[in-house]
Amino acid sequence: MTAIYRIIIVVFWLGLSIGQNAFSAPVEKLFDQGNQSFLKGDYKNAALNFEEILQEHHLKSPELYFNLGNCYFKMTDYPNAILNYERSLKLSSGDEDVLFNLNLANKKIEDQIVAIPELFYYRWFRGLYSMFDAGFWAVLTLILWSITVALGFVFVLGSTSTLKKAGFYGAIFSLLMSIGVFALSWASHRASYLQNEAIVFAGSVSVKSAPTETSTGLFLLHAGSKVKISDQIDTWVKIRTADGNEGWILLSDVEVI
Amino acid sequence: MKKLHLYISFLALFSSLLLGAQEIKFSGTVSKTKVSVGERFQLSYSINTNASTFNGPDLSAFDVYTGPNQTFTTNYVNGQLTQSLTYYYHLSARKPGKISIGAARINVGGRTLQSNTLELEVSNASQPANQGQHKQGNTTGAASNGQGNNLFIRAHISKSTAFLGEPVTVIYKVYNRYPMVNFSDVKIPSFNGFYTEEIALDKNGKGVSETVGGIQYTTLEIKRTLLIPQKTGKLEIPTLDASFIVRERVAPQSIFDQILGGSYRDTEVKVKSIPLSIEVLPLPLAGKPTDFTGGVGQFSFDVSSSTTKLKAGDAFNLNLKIQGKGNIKLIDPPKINVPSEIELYDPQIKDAAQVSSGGMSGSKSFDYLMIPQAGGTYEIGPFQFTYFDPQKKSYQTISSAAIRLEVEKSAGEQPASNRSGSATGTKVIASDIRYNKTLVKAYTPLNEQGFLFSMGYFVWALLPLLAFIGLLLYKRYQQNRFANRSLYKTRDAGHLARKRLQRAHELKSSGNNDAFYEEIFKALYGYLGDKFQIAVANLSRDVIRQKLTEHQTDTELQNKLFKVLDTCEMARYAPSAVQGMHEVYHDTTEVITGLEKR
Repeated sequence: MTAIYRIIIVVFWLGLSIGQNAFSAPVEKLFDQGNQSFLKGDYKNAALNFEEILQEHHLKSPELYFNLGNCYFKMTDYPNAILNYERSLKLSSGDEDVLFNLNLANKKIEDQIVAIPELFYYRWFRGLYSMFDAGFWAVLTLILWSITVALGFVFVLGSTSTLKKAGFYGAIFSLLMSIGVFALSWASHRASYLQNEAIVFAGSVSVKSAPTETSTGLFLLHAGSKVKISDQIDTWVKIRTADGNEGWILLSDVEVI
Repeated sequence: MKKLHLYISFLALFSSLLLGAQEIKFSGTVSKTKVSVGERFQLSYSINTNASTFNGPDLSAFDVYTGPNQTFTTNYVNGQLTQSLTYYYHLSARKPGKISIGAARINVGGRTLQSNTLELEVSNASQPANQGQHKQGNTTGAASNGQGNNLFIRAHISKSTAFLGEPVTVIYKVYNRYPMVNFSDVKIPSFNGFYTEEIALDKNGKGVSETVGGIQYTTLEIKRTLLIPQKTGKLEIPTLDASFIVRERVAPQSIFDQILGGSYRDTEVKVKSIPLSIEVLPLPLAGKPTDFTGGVGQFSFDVSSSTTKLKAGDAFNLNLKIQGKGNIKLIDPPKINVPSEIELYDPQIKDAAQVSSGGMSGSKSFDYLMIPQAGGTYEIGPFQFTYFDPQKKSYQTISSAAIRLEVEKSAGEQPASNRSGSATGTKVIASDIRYNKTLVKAYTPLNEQGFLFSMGYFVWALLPLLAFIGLLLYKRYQQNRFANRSLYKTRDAGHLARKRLQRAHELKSSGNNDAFYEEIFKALYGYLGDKFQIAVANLSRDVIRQKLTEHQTDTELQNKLFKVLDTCEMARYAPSAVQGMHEVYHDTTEVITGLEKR
């Protein structure tokens, strides 16, 4: 299935953007070098190799972020490990290995925030759209949309009433399906591409009640904690922790996932 | 003088009258007006008549040992009856200073009488008289009172240095030279840092003579305790405080005293032992076995099993018994290892240890309940018990013999791999991150924004719509063209027919019979086909008749048409039998123009 829709995506992309060619040999070489360094225990060099793919070649992949996270984990730089695991998850939500390591890394940091449980229907919805990545859902939406239009065509130009009926109901059904899949596609897109989450990098930061240095400190956050960004004023961002606390901190204290 | 005599006699008379009327006196006294803190004294209130409802004074500043007690005495002297009711307390003051005791009240025949108030001077606890000489030995300590070391308490400890967990006995002894001594109060010390067990004193503990520093004393043990140190370092053996009532002979004060053999005075004497300490040594770390469970002393070790032959699933008891001398009550269960096929439960612990001045001795037994899960022969043990011997100053390990257990298979026993006991899942030893991915499925540009809402997405979303509209338009065009052609055909049917007739007319002039009829026939069929929009192949005479009737063509015209058609067909098969071409041409024109008029 993935192969098929990847092919579809490739076809779609080829039709529109030029130069989206497959990754080049130097990138593959860097990736292998990184893994070899990691195996030898030279986590620093491994991290440098993986970072080079990001910085110099401007390419990303869930596997790359995962390996980079592992390097930082081994160097006990847990905030960076968490950041990279989270970035990996953004590209391939629900990857078991990434979730496992992220869970381990989260146990190493100071703040052990207990998340407010999500409502069950939101959990189901998320479980559904996490089954495939955003590209798959987008393509599926288009396919269903095309089917809807085709069935509409059958309805309009059908020569017999049975054909018209089939076209009409088929088109309605297909339209509803495509609306549903579009919702999943949108949610998946937001989860993958919306940069509204961040990891705290400052060792210990006092979260303020207002975007000023002089306002009251509400609570403390420590390096490695994940926050949701909901607003920004100048250099300040409004954040929300998983347990529902809100406040303002400097953008420089966090790294956006 | 006379006057004075008179006065005296009057007074005497008056007083005798008063006495006759029984003058009532209610007064309070204390046995001592100067006491030290904690020293006992007596407070008494006397009234020389019978009375009721005694209300004592406020004694909140004192410790009340007894009281109010009451005594009532009646004397008959010289024909005179004297009664005396006394209420008394035994008290001791709590704080030094001047204390006044308020008035007590009593009810006599409906009248309430008040006693006098009393003043008391309380000095500090340790009277100078009680601070005698201090004697300190290695293992004994005593504090004596001022009466020339006549009464003191000593604490004896069996050893001044002990290992952690090694039992030590402490004995408190009273040394006395007074003829009569009574305890009035003993404060039991509390031992910190020790596990303690009281040792029973001899019930009929008579005094034993003992010589200290050349002076003979009568000694009496008042407390014996077994101490097991629980902490290392210098641990204090606390002092024991006791007060005694001592009867002392006092110099005769009157002739009667001398006759009666002198008088005595009871005094309270407070004594305390001086504090001692024990140096508690930690158990040596070097060579400390891992299976050491806290036993310090001399022990023996015995292991027995309730049975050696049983069925799988049946329970049996393994008994580990430790016997000997030492801190036997404080020994933890020894660690035991049994094959995994045998289910092991926590042990039941029983101890039977006695304490005596020689220390603690007895036994402690651990009963382990075990259930073999599978048949077979098992060897359990050898079991080991490790303790510390403070005399040898080293750890000792005793091993028992191994026990051989023959377990019969139970009826419904399943193969080992299917037993629930072995299905415990993976045992996690440590947690580490999952290893790197070795293959990248696909890279995407770092600034990739996703396919949804991208240009391509919208293009691909619009494409089907555009295709739909395009197809719709094409279809419409096609339809239009078809519709126009039919209309044109109907409209131009007559025109085409006329063209055909014109050709037929030319053929008639040139005398080409066959071609003429052919042309007339075609002109008529073509015209009818176009007119009624029916393919020429489908034109039969029936269809034509039906269509003409639908068009309400009059029968004369129909007949003419069929006549012409008949003539044309006949001319094609038998050219000689047909009438003149001119007439056919004429009729044909007439039919077409007739139909065209409609």
